[in-house]
Amino acid sequence: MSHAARMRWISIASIVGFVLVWALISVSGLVRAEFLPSPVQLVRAFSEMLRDGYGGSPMGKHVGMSVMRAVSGFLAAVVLGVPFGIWVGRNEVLSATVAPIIGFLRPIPPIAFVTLFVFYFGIGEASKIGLIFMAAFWYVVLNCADGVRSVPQMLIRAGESMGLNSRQLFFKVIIPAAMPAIMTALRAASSISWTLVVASELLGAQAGLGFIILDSAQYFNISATFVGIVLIGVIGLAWELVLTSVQRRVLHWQGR
Amino acid sequence: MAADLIVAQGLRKEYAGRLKQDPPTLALESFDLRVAEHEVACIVGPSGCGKTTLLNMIAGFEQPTAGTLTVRGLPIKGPSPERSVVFQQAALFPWLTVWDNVVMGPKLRGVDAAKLERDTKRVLESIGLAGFESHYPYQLSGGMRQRVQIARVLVASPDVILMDEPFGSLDAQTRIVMHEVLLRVWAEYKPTIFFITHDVEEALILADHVYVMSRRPGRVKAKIRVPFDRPRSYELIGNPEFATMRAGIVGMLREEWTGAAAQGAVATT
Repeated sequence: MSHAARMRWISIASIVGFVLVWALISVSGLVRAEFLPSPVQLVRAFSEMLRDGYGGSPMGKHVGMSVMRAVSGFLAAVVLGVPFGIWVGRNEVLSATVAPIIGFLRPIPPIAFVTLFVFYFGIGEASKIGLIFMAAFWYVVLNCADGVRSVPQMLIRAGESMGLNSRQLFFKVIIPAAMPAIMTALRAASSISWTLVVASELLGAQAGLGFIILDSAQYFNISATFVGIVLIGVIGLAWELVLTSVQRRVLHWQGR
Repeated sequence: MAADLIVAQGLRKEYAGRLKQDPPTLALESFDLRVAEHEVACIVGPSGCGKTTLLNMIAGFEQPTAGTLTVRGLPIKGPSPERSVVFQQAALFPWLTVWDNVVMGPKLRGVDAAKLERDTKRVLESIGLAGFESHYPYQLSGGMRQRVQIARVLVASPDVILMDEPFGSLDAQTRIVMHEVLLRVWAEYKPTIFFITHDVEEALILADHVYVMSRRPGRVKAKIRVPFDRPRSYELIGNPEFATMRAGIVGMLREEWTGAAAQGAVATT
């Protein structure tokens, strides 16, 4: 067996082991079933939720709403943040203007803004997508600006001495050279977007995985809470895998 | 004797100190140099003598503080494909294949596609890169990457090829191979080459003239004609005259090192 294959088996064994330990704890009665449902209970709860929906909405709607919010915030952050970040990286005056604002905003957990956003934008989609957008946007801007700034001088000089004009230098040298940093920015932004979905749905949402988690916990329907949590984890993981493969394809020239 | 291609007269280059009260650093002063067309000029000098500064000014990356620096009688306005640079390392575009790296400049300048393809094929053939056209830089060894850099400047058929210690980071065997590649390429294309190195042996194998620079502020301390016939090969290093010249140049450089060391000792005590 190759080294990589052996490592993959270890990863699979780890998941199986985790579920086994979980099952043993719940069967042993160490923790009461109301607090920690067994894997079987969880599967049962999930299939009931699939059949009957939750809180008057089908599961597809809950998942769809959460994904829609996260993707909307993420895409807005990418579409606006990538060009803005590249501009910041190229322009010292703009960079000096933006740096203190980002420096101040960055240490504040985005969740701190949840209530304010609801106050400003209401309990509709605008406050939720807005919160996700704001948090992801600064990450994208920062990473892209850094990426553009750290393009090796030698590559720029090589381009200049080939006779490239500044437009060609920008599109043929600087952007591709900054691509690894831009991809890192996209991955960070996507995981932030997905993380914040739950937070954004804690206030005023009528559907979404965050809504399920909050609502079910209030009614001590712990199985449903766990279903919500597991779904968030699984979808987040799938999304991460998709982005990793996109990244590998875009940056194939790094030879990794 | 062919016409002078690169002429430096009374060249001076100063760098501002890092802090306001720091004195400026004088990299070059009263610097004169003449390099003829089709010549291979090797510049050797102690580290920090301003060799790279000189190359950067010829390339158009930096401007002289005073004095004149011309190529074909024209002052240098900025970087240009007429003065292509082979860097020490990591100057290939890693996201492009060997072929795309080589054709990028001429293609964007609008060189006729059929001619470019012919030229590129010929250059890749003569530099030993045939069959590697679709490789990416990460798939190549250090020596192969430097071949790509040389191919990239050759297709631009520049007035002068500027080389900044291009083989400095290669192992000794690969360096010998690259010297032979460069000698072969020169025999075929007869480019003017301005080559910076700290390796005296390398300079004597490649050059028509070796320019020995003094320590900072750099001046040309000696311009030495290298008399060996072309085509040259590595057998040259067994030649007694080669050994004598090598010893002579190393001796000159040694005076500069020891001078610099003595100066350093005075400055630090």
